[in-house]
Amino acid sequence: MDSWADRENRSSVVLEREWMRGAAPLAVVTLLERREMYGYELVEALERDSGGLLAMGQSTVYPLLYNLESKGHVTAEWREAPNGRRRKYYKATAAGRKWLEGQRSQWATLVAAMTRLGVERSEGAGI
Amino acid sequence: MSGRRGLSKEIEAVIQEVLDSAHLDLIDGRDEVARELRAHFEDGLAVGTSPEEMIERFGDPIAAGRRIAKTRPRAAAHNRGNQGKWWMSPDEWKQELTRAARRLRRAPGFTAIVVLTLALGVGVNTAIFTVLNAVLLQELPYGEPDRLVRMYEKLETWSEDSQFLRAPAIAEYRTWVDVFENVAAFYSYREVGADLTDGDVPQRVSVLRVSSGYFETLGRPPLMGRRYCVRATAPRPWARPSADCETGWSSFRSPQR
Repeated sequence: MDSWADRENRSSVVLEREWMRGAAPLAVVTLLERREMYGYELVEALERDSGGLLAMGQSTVYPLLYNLESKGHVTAEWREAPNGRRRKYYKATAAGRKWLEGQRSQWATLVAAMTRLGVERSEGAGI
Repeated sequence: MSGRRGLSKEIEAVIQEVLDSAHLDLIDGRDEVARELRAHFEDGLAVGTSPEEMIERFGDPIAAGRRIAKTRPRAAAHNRGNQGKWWMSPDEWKQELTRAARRLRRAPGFTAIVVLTLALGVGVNTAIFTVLNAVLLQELPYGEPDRLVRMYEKLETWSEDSQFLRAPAIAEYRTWVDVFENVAAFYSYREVGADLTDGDVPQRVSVLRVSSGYFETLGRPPLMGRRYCVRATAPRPWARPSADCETGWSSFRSPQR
């Protein structure tokens, strides 16, 4: 369960569908590059680590994972967790890491370009 | 109220709804998806989330099923190693084709559109190829089609689309033996009907009025009967044969009775 402080730190911005569609695979493979996770854990990590910005309907994560699996970016394995329950753990593959590198590069280039354009200008700044 | 593995009936119903919307086969990993979704709910319940909140946070099960329908079979094919693979064993081919047929049966509208599109595409292509084959690829059914030419006169007083050759001109061209091996003329390109009454039973036949030398010029023998002789028509190429020359009526009979 989220603590009160966690909920307070959540972003009040709601990402538009297209942004979400582009960002979610990148975020998922980024998390799975760090360590392997099972579905519920991944959903929680996405919500918590993104400050709520990448919170999605929990059911959304499974089609996303299957899609990444079909592309060979992630792989999955059923294993018994320390609590004895069997779970399906996902982790990034070598191909997934390589894809992630390319995505990061594009992301950095995009952010730099948007910054140069002044997209990041703060609310109060005038022309 | 609890179902299998301690999950509530409501949660089991959500999982079932996802699976029903996903239309997965065993080969697509239907059972595995079911196990994974159950594990998901169990994990949520284990950290103290209420079943109601889990269901709410899970989202629309039908939409989830539809998204899983698009992605899970691809993942299963990838894991089987059959994705984009053409060197599958006969058993693997059979398995994939059976699965494809089953999925098509489940989507009759889509299948109908695909079949109609294919039928239309194949039909149109066949029709186009038939015309191209007959007009461009196949040789004309004449002896030496590359040596055949069509001639017509153009006089200033005639309209632009007139394509005629006067009888005296034909007779003249026939004397140009260094230029033309044979010269024959049509009265018209259009066949006309006629009644043939020289046998026991009258017959309706198609007639194309042509001059003598027609079959020689085309380089093909008639299917039936005899050819016109030149003497029969000169100098009017389409005149009826005279009594001292064999007639060509039988040449124009259709082979089928």
